[in-house]
This record gives sequence, C-alpha cells and structure tokens, in this order.
Amino acid sequence: MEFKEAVEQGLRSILLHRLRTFLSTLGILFGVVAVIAMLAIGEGAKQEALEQIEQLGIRNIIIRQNNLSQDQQAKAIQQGSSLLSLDDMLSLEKALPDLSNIAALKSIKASLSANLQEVTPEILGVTRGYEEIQGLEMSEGRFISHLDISLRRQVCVLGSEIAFLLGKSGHIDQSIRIGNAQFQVVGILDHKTWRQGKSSAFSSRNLNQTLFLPLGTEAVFSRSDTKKNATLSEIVMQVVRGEQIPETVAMTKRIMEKRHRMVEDYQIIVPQELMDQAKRMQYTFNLVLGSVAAISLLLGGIGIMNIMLASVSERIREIGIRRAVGANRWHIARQFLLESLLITLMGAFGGVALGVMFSFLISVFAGWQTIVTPWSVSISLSMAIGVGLCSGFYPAWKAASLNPIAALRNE
Amino acid sequence: MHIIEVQKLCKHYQLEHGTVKALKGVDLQIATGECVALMGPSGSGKSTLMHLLGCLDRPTSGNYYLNGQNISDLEDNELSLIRAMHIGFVFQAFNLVPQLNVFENVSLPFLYRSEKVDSESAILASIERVGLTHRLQHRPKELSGGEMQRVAIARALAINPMLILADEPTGNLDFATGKAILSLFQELNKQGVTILIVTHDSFVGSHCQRIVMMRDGLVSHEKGS
Repeated sequence: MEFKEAVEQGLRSILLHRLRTFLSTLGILFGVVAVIAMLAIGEGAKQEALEQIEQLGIRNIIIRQNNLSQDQQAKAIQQGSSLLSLDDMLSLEKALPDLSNIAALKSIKASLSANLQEVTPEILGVTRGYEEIQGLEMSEGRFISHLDISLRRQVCVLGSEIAFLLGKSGHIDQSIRIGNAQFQVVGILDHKTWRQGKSSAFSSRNLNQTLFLPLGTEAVFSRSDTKKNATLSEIVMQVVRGEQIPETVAMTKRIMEKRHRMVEDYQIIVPQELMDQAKRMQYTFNLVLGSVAAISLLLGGIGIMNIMLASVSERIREIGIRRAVGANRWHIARQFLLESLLITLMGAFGGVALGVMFSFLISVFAGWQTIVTPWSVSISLSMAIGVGLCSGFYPAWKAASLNPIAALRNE
Repeated sequence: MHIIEVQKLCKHYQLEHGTVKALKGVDLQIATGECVALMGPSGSGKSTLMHLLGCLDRPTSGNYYLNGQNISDLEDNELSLIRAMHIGFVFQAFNLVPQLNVFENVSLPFLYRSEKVDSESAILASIERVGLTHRLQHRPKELSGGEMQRVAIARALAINPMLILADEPTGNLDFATGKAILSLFQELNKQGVTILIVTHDSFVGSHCQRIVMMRDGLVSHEKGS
C-alpha cells in the first residue's frame, strides 16, 4: 500500500469517531504540555541562576563581611578578630600565587545631594583592580587609579544610570556633591545588563546604579574611630584559570581562619561552587518533573491503547474484508499501528503548540523565566511517539492475529 | 484447462470435544470460463470448501491446484497475495468498508498487491461494468442493497481475477434485485470470468452451467448442462 493512501485511510478511520479520537488524544496532549512546560520552567530557572552566578564572576572568590550587630562586632574584636580589613587583603595577595587580581570594597553610607528620583545609588569605596575583576568597561574617562587611593583624591566614577540621571553634572570633570564633600567625576561606566536575583546567595550589585570612590576617601564623611572605618565590606579575588579555584579557596580559608582567630565574621562565596550546585539541583529538579510528566504521557498511552482495542473489536468485520481482498497480517497490523500513531501525533503536536503557549503564559503571568528548548520539544515528541507506538502494538497484534473467516462472520 | 483442481481435500477442526471433519476428501475440477453452483444443506461443507478455494484457509490434507500451481502448503503471506491478485469475493452481506466510498472500496485489493499497476483505469472500468459510474463518491450507507452488491462485484472484478467466489450473493436481496445480480453474473461469465456460487437456492443454481451437490463433507453428485 502506498504510504500516502495508508495515512489517508487511517485518518479517515480515526476521524469517523471525532469526539472519541479527540478525547483519546487529550492524554498525550496534556502529557506533552506537562513535559514541555516543566522543562521550560526548569530551564528558565537554571538560566536565571546561572546568569546571576555569572554576574558574580565565575573565576572569582568573594569574601564578604557578615552583617554583624554592634555587639557582635565588639565580641568579634574581643575574640581577636579585626573584622574584614585591608590587612586581610594584603596577606591574601601575598600568600596566594594564582591570583590575577584582588580588590577591596567598602560600602559607604552617604547620600548624593542631587535628587535621582527613585534610584538610590550604592556608593562604594574600591581599590584599583575592581574594574578588571568585574570586567567593567569605561564609556568615558578612567576608573579609580592607584594614585587616587594613595593621594586620597576626591574623585568618583559613575555607573551609567547614575550618570544619565545626574544629567548635566553626570559628565567628566563635573563636580558632584556627596555628603558634605565635593567629588570630581573622572569616569563613566558602560551600561552593563544586570538581572535581579531572587536568591540572596547569588545576589550581585547593579553596577549601573553604583558610584565608585577611591577607598579611603570615605573618611571625609565621618568622624568616628578609624579602626571601625577600616572595616571592608568585601574582598574580591580573581584567579587566572577556573581550575585554580578549589586550591585557592582552601588556602584562603586557612589564611582567613588564622587571621580572624576562627571567628566567623565573614563568609566566602565561590560562584563556581554555586554554579555546580545550581546545575546539580537543576538536574534533580528536571528528573523529578520529567518523571511526573512521563507518567502522564504513559496514562495518555493507556488511553490510546484502550481506544484502539475498542476500535479493533468494532472493526472485526472490516479486518475480515481487508483480509479477504488480500491484506496479510502485517498489512492489518500496520494499519492499526498507523492509526494509533496518527492519534498520538495529533495529541503530540497539539501538545507542543499548547505547551509553548502555556510556557509563555507562565512567564507573562507568573513572572517566571521559561525557556522552551528544541531539546525539550524533541524529547517530548519522541517520548509521545514511543508511547503511541507501544500502546498501538498490542491492539495491532490482536487485529492481525484474527482469523479472517471468523472475522468475516462477525456480526 | 482447469483453473481449479482439488484432490482428496480434507479439512478437520480440532474442537474441545473432539475433531470435526468438515471436508472428508473432496475431488473437484472447475474449467476456465465455467459458472458453477456449489449447493447442499447447511453443514455439508460447502462454505469450508469455498474458504479453502478462496485461500482464506489451508486444508488439513489433500492438494489444491490453482491454475496449475499447488497452493495447499503456502504461508499466510503467499495466500494473501494470491487473494489480492487472483481471487474476487462476493458475500451475502456485501462486506463493504463503511467509511470508504465506492471508488475506494473497489480499489481495496490494489492496496495489498506488491507490484504497482495503473489501478485507476481498471477500477473505473469495473465500476462501469456493474453500472455504478454515477455513484463513485457515495458511501455504502447511501446505496441500496442491489447497488452495494454491485460494488462488491466491481471490487471482485477490478483485479481481473482467475476466479470469482460468491457466497449466497442474492441472500440479502429481494427477488427482483437478486435476479438482476444473477444476470450480471451470467453476463460476466459470458465475457469469460470463471464464477463459483455457493448457494442453497435452487433458483440461483438454475442460472449456472453446472451444479455441484455436497453432502456430509463430500461431493455427492453433479448436475451439468
């Protein structure tokens, strides 16, 4: 039989009972929708986590000062820790051989006198090297230099949004007022895409809304004791190659524990480890979701088998006729296999369309990032086709093994 | 030249309570171009014989030569191909596929033939021979009984068969329509088609050249013209 004719006749037969066919495709349809939507949600969540981790920098190691209350700080100092300090940075720089860059960061509580509407810029005192670690590009001027720090020059570098919002004064050589001091703009950063993180573990700064000062110049804002002022918010280190991270992390831990006398007033964040964790988690997540979806596909398959068995017993006479005019067993089996495959394909393609739509709606209404990959479409399609073939197999075999004479006599 | 030659054909069925001997050694010859009626009371084995002659079943023992070829021991696939190529069936209950139209029902045997031929002209020609050219797109349920049987005859004719086997072809038709169908068979027979009609209606038998009477699994006697 020509394939085209076989498909045509198969379609005709299954369209004979439109409602029944439609109902039996639903199982596969929703199975495919489930597979696609779940994989899309999973993939979206993975991408989001990975992007956030990448913003932290995959070759970076971050040492962050823990948020301590005044009491906790005092206790830490009492126990012999000097909190996160420039000295920590200097000893790490000396002891770690694989660093390509190291920079210190201090969050400064001061406010811009200019009104930037709803944007509150984060003001950071930084050392040289931070721009290389973060891969910052200048759109104008330069970044904070070594000389700025040693001479405590009152200069600043603006994130792109800050520069834009400052308007006229957001340009090189303009002077802006921070707290009670004047700072001269020496550089403006290129815009950098930034994605807000849901989890604080991966959170990174929106550099577009950040204002950088040379570390040390923040002394002009306060009159409190210098010891407290010397506390850093963060030390960021970058290694030359990714594989040097584990060893560098181990050494960093040893050095920091020794310097802080085992007081845990800091945490070490390793984006690479976070990324591995995120990938492992995602894998488990996909496996669980995939199994649930696969079960619903299986149920769809059982529905199709049910319908095909009903179809075979309704069409025993037709099978007898076809056998009488020359169909062999394989022709009959093929006809019923093809019909169950066609039902499956209708369900599967409908499911793909609906699944893509559903994923889109999830991203619109629930605000979750969803990504439909060709991989998820092909895996759900091939699973559906596999299920369809398997569930068509027994009814087809049953049809093929009917005795033609008995089939012809069937009323 | 005999299109059908049957020697000592036996068919036994194994049932729960013993063996049923439906055919007990039938000898029969049918020549090319003959129109033969196979008659006998129910249970005489005429249907079993027809199924064997139509390659729907295999004999327990004995030989069946179709056009000189011994086909007693062929496999299902080979028998199916012989049915698709050389044998046309006409049944009492018409046996058309309900979801297919007239043209498609007639084309059914061609779907199962291994070699590709230009089937369309043969199909159209055979529909024309039974006078249903105006009904090509109709489904069986839109046809009368007589028309349905004509479609079945067209389906049997389309493959240019060595033999048409008709099982009570007028059984479900009123007298006038049945008579028309019988004259169609006679006309086809005149054009050279070999026909075997299984019936217990002596009126049908009277339209055939030869009557083979069966009784108790054997050919009891023949009446020839």
